[in-house]
Formats: sequence, structure tokens, C-alpha cells
Amino acid sequence: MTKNQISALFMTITIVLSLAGLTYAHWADSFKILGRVKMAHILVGIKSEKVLISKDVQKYSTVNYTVSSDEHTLAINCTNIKPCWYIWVGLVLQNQGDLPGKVKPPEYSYDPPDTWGAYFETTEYFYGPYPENTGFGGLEMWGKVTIVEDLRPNGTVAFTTPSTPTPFPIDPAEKAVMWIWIHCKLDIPDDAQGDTLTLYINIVDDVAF
Amino acid sequence: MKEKILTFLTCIFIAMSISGFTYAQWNDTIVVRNTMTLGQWNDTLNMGFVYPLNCTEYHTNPYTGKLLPGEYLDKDVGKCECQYKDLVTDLGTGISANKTLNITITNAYPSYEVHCNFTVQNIGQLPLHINETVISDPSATLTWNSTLSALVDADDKPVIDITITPDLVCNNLSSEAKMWFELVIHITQNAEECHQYTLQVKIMYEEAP
Repeated sequence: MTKNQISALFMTITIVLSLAGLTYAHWADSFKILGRVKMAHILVGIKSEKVLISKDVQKYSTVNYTVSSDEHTLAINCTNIKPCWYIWVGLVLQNQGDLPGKVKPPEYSYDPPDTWGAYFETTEYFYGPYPENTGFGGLEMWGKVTIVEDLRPNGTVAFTTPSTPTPFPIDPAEKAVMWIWIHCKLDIPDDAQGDTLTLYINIVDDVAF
Repeated sequence: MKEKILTFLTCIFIAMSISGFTYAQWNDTIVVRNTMTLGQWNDTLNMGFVYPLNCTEYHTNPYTGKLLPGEYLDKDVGKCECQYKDLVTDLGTGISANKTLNITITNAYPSYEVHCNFTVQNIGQLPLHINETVISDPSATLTWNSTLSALVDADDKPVIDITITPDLVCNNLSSEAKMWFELVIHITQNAEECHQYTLQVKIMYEEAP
């Protein structure tokens, strides 16, 4: 085989391969489905809060509180806690998410230590849900609530509006009112008396379905 | 002796010069002239999406397990839209079809399900064969698991279940023939809130053998 024959063979193979690629590209094609899924979010948060302390308790105990930046937790710092100490905590919750939520009893935690839950008892009352534009100032269980008269020391309430059993659904933008009675039922340990206790009320949000 | 060496070297030099000249004289170029006439593709190859097209929400009743249209408890939370894009017209048949189907789901939540019914038409002149589908996440967050028939996360947990019925692959469509398919997108419990997921189904076809 001469040099020219080899060159001709090489060129032929090159041309055939190029044409094969071109032919394949011409005789095969595609089309596509594109999907985009944007997930919703769930957020039942604290929009407003009140911590009511009776005059009797105010004589020996100080209480201050803050709402976390994610609006999920109310932290209450308390001093000189002793048996019969109690406070009433009121929260306006709002569903700020995209999904219908579910209002459930909150979770409690204590610092320090978390086992202090055994020294306290809690009772919750829920009202609502209410539309977003509800004027809460005029509501019996929020606007002019007084401790002792409306929110009694024994953990009962004097509202004429019946409370809503939990869990109950709360649609996006809707609000609900929650009142919590927190009561110290046992003597706290001697070495902890006089210390500051931080009590956390954590809102539990869940999809309604 | 010195002169003999010089004479010997000069002879070698002259001999080599002559041999190069001789090689150049006896070597020449052969020009191969060839006229190639490429076959003309009169028959066109083209496939795409045509109407009808519709997307419907579905939910599974948690008590009966039955699949029902709409959202659970008649809620209006999730939204789904589907539309065709990239319209092309086949030069051979004059029929138009779309090369892309866009599905947009917003406010999705676990268990949300969308059924998208689309139509595929062979708008070219040649019989076609769907030879492959490639399902992927263009953002590369999720990967396709064919065993689970789902896009899965890094822990191999299904996030978006995807099924197409009947199977697209291995279908032959003659010129102008249509086929109807249903794409089901189901959001699983592993999908994260506030996230955005993407998916792509690439449908590849070739001339039917």
C-alpha cells in the first residue's frame, strides 16, 4: 500500500465519521418538561404578649419577659419564686405562614435546670380563631383583662366567652388568644431559693392537615 | 591522512545531497478529485407537546386512602400551573408543537400532589421512537433514583415522587400521531418548607427503526 493510498483511506474514514455524527444529530432530537416547586412555610408566631402579676406576688417577686426574634418563644425571668407564686401569661398568636396551621398547647422548658417543671403547674385557655382585622382591644379576653377578677389566682377564668378546645385550625393571617396560668405548687430546693428562673413558653406550630 | 578524511566527509555530504534531491524528484502529489452529492432530507423528524394540557390537584383521603381531586378539606393552599413554550413548526407537515412544558407549583406542602395531563405529537414526516427519558434536578440539589421513582436528597430520601403513565420510553409514533400521558408529581414528607425545588424530564426520540 503506497503512501497516497494510506492518505486516501485516512481521509475517507475522517469524512465518514464526521458524516455519521452529523447524521445522528440530524435524526435524533429531544424535548423536555421543566418543573419548579416552591414549598410553603409554616409559622404560628407570637404577635402580642402580656404577663400579669398580682399585687401580692409583686411584693416579693420580679418578673420580666422577652419574645424571641423568631416569634416562637416567650422567655420569662422570675425571682424569689415560692409556693403559691403565680402569673398569667396572655399571647396573641397569628398564623403568618402560607398553610393552615393548628393551634396546640405550648411546650414549657426551664433554665436552670429543666427538671424544675415538676415544681410548676400550668393551665391553658384558648380563644379564636379570629380574622386578621379583629380589634383585640374590644375583646373580652384581651382588651380590658384584669388579674384576680378575670384571671383568678386558682387558675380559672371569668370570661363569658367559652374557650376553644385544642387543637383547632388557624388559617393563614388568622389570630387566636391564649391565656396560661403558671403556678408554683411545691417548695423549690433551698439552694435555689433567691435565684432567677427563666421559664420558656414555646409555641408549637403544625400543619392543620 | 587528514586529506583522506576530508575527502571522505565531502563525498558523504555530496551523496546525501543527491539522495535528497533524487527523493524530491521521484516524490509527487496525487490530487484525488471527488464529487460528493449529499442525500437530500426531504422527510422531517420532529416531535413536541400539543394541546390538550391540564394540571389538577389531588389528595389522598387519610381515612379511606382514596385519591380524590382537589386539596384536603377543600383548602385552597397550593397552586399549580402548566403551560407550553418554545413553539416550533415542522417544515414538512406544517404542524406546530412546543418543545417545552413548564409546570409551576407554589405553596406546596408534604402530600400535595399534581397530575399533569399532556399530549405528545409526532409533527414530522418520519415515524419516531421515544428511546429515552432522563429525569434530573437542574439545580443539582436532588438526584434521580429510578428504583424509588423519585428525586432524592443527599440521604437518599425521596423528596419528589415522579411518575409518568404510560411509560414514555419505547413508544413509536407514526407521522402526525398523538399520545396522551399523565405526569404525577407528589411532594413527600422529606420536602423542606420554604425551599424551591426544580425538576426536568428530557424526552429523547429518534427515527423509528
